[in-house]
Amino acid sequence: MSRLSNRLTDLLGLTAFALIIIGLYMAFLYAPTEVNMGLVYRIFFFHLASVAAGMIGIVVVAIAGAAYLRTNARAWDRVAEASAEIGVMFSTAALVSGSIWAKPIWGVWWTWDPRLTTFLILWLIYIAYLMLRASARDDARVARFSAVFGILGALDVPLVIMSSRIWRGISPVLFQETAQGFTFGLTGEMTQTLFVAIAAFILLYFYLLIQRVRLEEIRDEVVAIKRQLAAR
Amino acid sequence: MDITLKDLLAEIRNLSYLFYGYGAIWLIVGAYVFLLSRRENKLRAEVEQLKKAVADERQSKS
Repeated sequence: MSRLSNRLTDLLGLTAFALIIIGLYMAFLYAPTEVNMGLVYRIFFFHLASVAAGMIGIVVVAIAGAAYLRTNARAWDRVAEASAEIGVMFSTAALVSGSIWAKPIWGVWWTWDPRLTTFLILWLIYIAYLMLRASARDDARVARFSAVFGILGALDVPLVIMSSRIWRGISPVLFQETAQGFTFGLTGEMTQTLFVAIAAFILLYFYLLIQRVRLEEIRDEVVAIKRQLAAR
Repeated sequence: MDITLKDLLAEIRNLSYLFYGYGAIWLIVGAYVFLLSRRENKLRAEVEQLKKAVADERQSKS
């Protein structure tokens, strides 16, 4: 890895860190308190940021999987595996923080709302994907099967986004269709805070992805040296 | 606007959920970053060990 790419990765990490600090400041001190939900609504900013980073992670699994099926290049397989792991991590944060937000607002930790259910299914699909990967790490057939599995699993992403409109659940719908066209159901300060939090977690996702891919490269190096030693 | 004790208690309860929510997010992200760095250190140590083993083998053959 060249010094320039190392520096760019460090810069990406520092930018993500700075945006997280700014996002936290905005979430607690800049955005106004919501009238109905009170203080607890402030979970929402980094909860939605976790959802966004998790979804991007899963979309990247599908894109890298498709590229792997086309080229058979191990580099794409590494990206898919790394992205699935980080996507699951952010999705776990989204599920847990969403559940904590739901308790004081809905009175329950969990409800089988369409959006929550489709998101839980997405999370379970990628837990299964990671288990499949862990079962046979260096098998090319498993890598190809995982790529197909990752692409099919990502079909749930648009379903999660559209679920509240299709089945009319109780999850808040941010983009609302009104007589004036599509509006964002938040005040200006809330929208700005949300965008900063989402940008921070998306940058953090890419920073972690680079680190995780490097880890996989080192692991490949270990496997190669072990094979070299075994062949003697 | 008058704030009743009930409102105040509800806000305190809300505040604790806010704390748990953010705590959970940072705990999950922090734990993942920690595990990632531990895995990297372990793998780097293994690479060094294996490279040394290869070098030792070459030396013993020559």
